[in-house]
Amino acid sequence: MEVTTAVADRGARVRSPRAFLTMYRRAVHEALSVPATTMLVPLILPIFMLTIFGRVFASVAAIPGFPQGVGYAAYIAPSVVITGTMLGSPTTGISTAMELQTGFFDRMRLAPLGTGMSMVARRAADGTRLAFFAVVLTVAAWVDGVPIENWPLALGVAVVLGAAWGVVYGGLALAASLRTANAETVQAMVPLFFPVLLMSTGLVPMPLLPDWLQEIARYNPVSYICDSMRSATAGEFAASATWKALLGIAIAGVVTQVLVQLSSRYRARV
Amino acid sequence: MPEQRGVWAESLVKVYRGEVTAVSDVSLTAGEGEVVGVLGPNGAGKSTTLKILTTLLRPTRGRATVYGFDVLDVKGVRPLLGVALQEVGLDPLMSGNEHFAVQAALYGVAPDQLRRACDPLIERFGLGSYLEREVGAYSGGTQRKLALALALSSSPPVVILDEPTAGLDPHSRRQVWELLEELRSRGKVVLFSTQYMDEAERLCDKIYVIDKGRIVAQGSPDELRALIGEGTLRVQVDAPPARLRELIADLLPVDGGGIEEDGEVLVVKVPLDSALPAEILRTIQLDGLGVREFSLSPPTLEDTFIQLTGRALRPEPLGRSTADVGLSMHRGGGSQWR
Repeated sequence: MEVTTAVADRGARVRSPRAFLTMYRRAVHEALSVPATTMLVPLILPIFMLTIFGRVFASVAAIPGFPQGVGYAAYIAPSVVITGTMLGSPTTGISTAMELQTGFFDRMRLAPLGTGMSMVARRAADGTRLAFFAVVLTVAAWVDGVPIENWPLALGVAVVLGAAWGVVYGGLALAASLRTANAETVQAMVPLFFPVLLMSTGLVPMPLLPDWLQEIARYNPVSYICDSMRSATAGEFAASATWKALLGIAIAGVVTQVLVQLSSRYRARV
Repeated sequence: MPEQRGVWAESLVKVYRGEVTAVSDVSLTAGEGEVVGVLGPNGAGKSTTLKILTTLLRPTRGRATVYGFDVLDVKGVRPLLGVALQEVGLDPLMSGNEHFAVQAALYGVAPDQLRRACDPLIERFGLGSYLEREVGAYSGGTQRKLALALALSSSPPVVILDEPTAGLDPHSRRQVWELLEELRSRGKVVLFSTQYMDEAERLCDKIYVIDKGRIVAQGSPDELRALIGEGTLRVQVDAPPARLRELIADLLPVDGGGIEEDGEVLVVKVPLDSALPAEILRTIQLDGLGVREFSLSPPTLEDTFIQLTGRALRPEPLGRSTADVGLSMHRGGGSQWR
């Protein structure tokens, strides 16, 4: 049957790198077309944290439990990067909610390529942008007086762990977006970054956290991401913390991806 | 039996979240070289029916196929479809050209190839000068034309359009009509919903009248008009309508039903193939009254629709949501056609 052949042909052709690149370019172009929202706003709070917290709370670095010889600005520099990547992460979720509202999502659902490639491309574009944030915030920390002993190592760890965590964390926004088709709901999730950060060693070392919070911080990947980035800034590669960070990111990635899949199925069942 | 070379649906039911029944019993067919219309007021279930046939909604009950593929088999059905929904489904931040590039990616064809295939449509709709601009800056009508061009870009065998001419100016509507007629001549299956009577009357080989989620009548425009069985006689004489009404009272039904005044004109519903118009004219002439107007019109599709649904069909004004729009309510002949 002629139409059946056409179906088979189309199915085989759509998985091309060109399709991915087109969707990736679209996501990047979309983000750049609203630079204030996607490129500037997510950097304001982290830079505020760096410059204000670093000075207001400078004396706490002298409290026993903080690593010796490390200023508070240097201590929180990794959490500043992580805050930036978490604040910049809901873009795919918000864009997908807009696609659902305008009907563009249905346009993609009806095409042989489906929506999967667009979401992968969007998350890749988010990863690129969040990697850029990691670089900007690392440089901002240096400008603010945080010593960077080994630039390639510091930037490499910040970019890989910071961007990867941001992309994984953004899965929560994407899942909520697919479930509710509502951009406001996704935006309402933005403040979640704060408890995630507070329940880690991002702002305060483990010994200074209350016991119950220490338990949570031990299972919070952000603790290991910050530890790894802090060591890299000091010129050392902390293998144990880095592997734990990567494992935590991977586990969180699986969890958020399951949520995304469940929401996608919900959307398909409507 | 499922239609192997077209669209087939039987007893479709769609209940949203177990509460709201949008479609309660819809069966229809659309074959190759046929333009089939789904006609109904806002909230009748047109869009839900079309979304089920496009695989975007799953039916709660019932079955539908496209070229023999069950609509639950989305991978089988979707590549066969060209769809333009009421929500135009365009990205306001992308230009027209970028939409074509993305459409090419979505369908796995080279962008140049897709553009070449779409060039005649771009020219037909006068879209060429807009393609570099962001779609968000287009008028509603231009957006709808772009959505139509995209829907047809893969040359699908089945074209499903939800109110394709809503918001278009008369010239653009006519362009879309010509396009649909062309698609029919090329053997495509064309299924579309509309609120415009003239559109359905002109284009459709078959019309399904849908109301409150049910098909209340189906057939060609002529067959639907025949359902009503009454024409409209308009008579004006050089005397007040009340005088004429008195004169012909004996010829009309005892209850005086089916007779109205439209200014100085008396409007009388008369059975088709009846001798009543000739008798009325003879009575007027015998009385010596001068005749200013005497015309007999066959029933319109609108008359039929009012008879079938008990209300007139008024397209939703642009820029207002469905919830804002109140339908003009006219009591009609009731439900004898259901």
